[in-house]
Amino acid sequence: MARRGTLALAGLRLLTGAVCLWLFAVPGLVVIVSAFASDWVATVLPASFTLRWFEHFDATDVDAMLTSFEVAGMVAALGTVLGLWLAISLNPLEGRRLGGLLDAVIMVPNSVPSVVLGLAVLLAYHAPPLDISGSAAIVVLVQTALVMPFCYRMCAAALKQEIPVFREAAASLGAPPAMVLRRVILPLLEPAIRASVALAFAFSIGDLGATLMVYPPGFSTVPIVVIEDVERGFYYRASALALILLALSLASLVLVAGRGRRAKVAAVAMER
Amino acid sequence: MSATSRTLLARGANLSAVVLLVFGPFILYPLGGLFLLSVRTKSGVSIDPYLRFFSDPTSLEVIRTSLAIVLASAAVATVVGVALAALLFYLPFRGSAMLVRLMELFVAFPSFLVAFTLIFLYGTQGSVNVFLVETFHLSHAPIDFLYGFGGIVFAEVIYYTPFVVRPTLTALTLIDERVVEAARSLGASPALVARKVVLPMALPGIVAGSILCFLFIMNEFGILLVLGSAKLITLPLSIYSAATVDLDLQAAATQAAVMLVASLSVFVVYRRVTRAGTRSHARG
Amino acid sequence: MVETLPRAAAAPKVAAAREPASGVRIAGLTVELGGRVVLDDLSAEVARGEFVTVLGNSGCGKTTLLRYVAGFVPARRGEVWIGARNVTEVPPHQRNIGLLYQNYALFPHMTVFENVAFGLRARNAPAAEIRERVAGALKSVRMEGFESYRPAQLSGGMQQRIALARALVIKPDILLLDEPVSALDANLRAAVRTEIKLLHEAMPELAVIYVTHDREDALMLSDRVMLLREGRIAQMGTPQELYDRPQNRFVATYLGLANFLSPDAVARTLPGIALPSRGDAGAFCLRPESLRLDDGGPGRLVGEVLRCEWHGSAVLLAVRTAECAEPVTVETARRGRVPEPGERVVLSYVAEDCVFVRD
Repeated sequence: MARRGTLALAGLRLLTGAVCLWLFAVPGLVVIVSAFASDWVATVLPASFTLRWFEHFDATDVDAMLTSFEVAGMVAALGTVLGLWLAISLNPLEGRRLGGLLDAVIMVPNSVPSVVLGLAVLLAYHAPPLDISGSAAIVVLVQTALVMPFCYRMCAAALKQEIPVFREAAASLGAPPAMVLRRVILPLLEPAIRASVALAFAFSIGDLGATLMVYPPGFSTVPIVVIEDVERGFYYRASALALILLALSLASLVLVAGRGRRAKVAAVAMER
Repeated sequence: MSATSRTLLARGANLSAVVLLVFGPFILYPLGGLFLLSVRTKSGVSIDPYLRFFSDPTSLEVIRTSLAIVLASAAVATVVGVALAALLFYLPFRGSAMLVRLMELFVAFPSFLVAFTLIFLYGTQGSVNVFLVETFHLSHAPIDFLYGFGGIVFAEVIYYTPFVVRPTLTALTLIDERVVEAARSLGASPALVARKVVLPMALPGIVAGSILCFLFIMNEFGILLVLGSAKLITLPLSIYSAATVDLDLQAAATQAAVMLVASLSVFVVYRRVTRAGTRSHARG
Repeated sequence: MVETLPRAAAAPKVAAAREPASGVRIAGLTVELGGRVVLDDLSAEVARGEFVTVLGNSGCGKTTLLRYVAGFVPARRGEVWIGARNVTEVPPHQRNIGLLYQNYALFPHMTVFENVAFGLRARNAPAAEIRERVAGALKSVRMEGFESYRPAQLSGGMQQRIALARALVIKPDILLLDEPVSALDANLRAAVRTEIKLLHEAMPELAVIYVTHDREDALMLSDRVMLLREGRIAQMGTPQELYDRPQNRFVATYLGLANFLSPDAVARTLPGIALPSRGDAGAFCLRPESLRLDDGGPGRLVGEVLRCEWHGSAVLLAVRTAECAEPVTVETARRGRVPEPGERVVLSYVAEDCVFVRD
């Protein structure tokens, strides 16, 4: 009886592990395998592997990679600066009606479809008084709006939980607000700022919907090229590009956010 | 002027700057403009575009499709997510922490890529079908659901299940183990403890995760762009094609405004649910 | 957000130099938090060099009072003066106070040296002076040699001593302590308590406000105790006054064990005692150590021992008497014979130990 129970539990564990791997590991594995497959049609596994798809990146692909990297870098920096500013500004309104309202409004860009946000930004900035629809600036703008909620959340959470007592201690020791900000708050927020940069970078580099709505002629990012390749049936090249995209965003999470912050990043991104 | 009122003044000035420089250009101006365009017709301001949208059979079909996909996907993702979270939490094994971390990395994985990888596996020429055909000597591919309702729901479930697992795990972690032990010591069976103690205490977290998952699936675009077809068009996809293929910005704006209202309604529900849970932590 | 202040205003050092140490005066203070009145028209004074303990249950407003003096809580009405300076409208960083938290609040990203030096840097002290004064402060709390440690590498007691050094190195006008020993275990608590007492003796000009819920802290450390109850002062005076001459039942029970005898019972057992005027609802408070296990009189109670409790050096007896509804508690020394439960005993007391307290 007890033996059967143990076996059943072992079976359940095995099932849990298998389902998790099947759902959450296989997509990543498929990207890796297909990026290196010389051919993967009508076979269970690719017959042979090759680096061909990486060697055959053309100027468009390389351009897209550079653009993605630059845009994501700018978006991560701008989103984090704005998120930090928002968090610090709204912190004193904690628990007040206005604070709650502003907090909700900040989260709006992430609560509507990316295409809706993209369309709204396109409509707002493709005609005077401000027409930036012809430049990459509009892509940076829409992606910044998209990632700002997370940057804000990340910093606001840290400000709320960890900082207030240190801020008061510093003030009691005679530090004026500017010194409290520079010497106490910002250093203590460093982990949150790093996490914010990493998450913003990852979101920006993987964004499809908002970018598709606004991107100007002659401009493309890696997700756009990947989607075009998929639509034209160039699956392996798409995989190779996607792998580079994934590597970049994972690298930002692992390198910038650093050890131990990943759970925090996931908590902010998935739970808020 | 006193220091207190100087502080308040500086705070007010800064807040105004925030509203003017961040809220305005990034959120309020674009979304407000969207609404304005959606009601502006040649004959002035009118709600005709909305009347036209809601009386068009095509758009009603789009709404039906959107609802069917989001309801099915969110339901499956919730059930699978809660089950996985409970199993991972109460039956941990070597590597289960790594699986949770793997799930967390999904935030760095664009959703359209998930849909794309499914083609390699479950497409008619994909691995799984080839394997089944070869093993059972079948004449044609047995699995053919990818470019339809099933495939879309499958991809959504894969991508959004972690959004249920995470908050459920957090909720389970936050349950005081001593309460569970107290229930056990009072003679409650594991099933009773699960039903009467654990589930009620974890429910706010589960509900929050499930609503957020619902919202994100409703808003999903990339998966449908890869796997959708002419028969299966959801609202975000329809907005995209109205704006970029038909070049009818007015129609796109109207649909986007409808979508905006729907999304914000779910968002408000989500805020209500999560705020109710986190209130009353005042300092004594 | 950051508001920049004129440099001249941001110099508590100047005030400190003019007036090395000062008292605190709070007048008509009413604080409302979240619609609830936390402090109700409270006025009090702490003299230069005085050690005042603010005592009370959680929620009585004691921490709010401290945070108001520090400048972190807005008041509905009221004023606070530090020495001759009305600081009601002065922001916290210009008040020149030392503040010690229950959880130390050492900056985790700074070393011990940087933590202690922080307040001096805020006052733009020259580097040489900073080094010298930090060294002196660390020496005074016996933490020399720990300059380059991070707070996380130190024990709770050590962290609290560093926090003390950090608060005192700026030569504050007043020192505010918020339950500074509550987070420590019993042995350390006594040690840090002694440390605080000695440091205060070394700085006889410094006014100290010490917030606690622990009556032992209050009785051992303070010159005067302010006992708070629901935002009002229940009684303020020396520990002896509060212990021996409580004004009401709440004060009597907060400061220690107390027996309450009705005026009738006292009149019957101690003829000739001055009774309160009729209409004054209350009882006579008699401490357990004021009841003697002998027939010496003049007050005399007869009863039966219900329970004996050993408290190490002393024994507490619960005795049921005909005169009192509740059993009375009697403290007796361990030495000599201790009565057994069930034994009949005679208790005696004197009029001087009876204090009439209102309900």
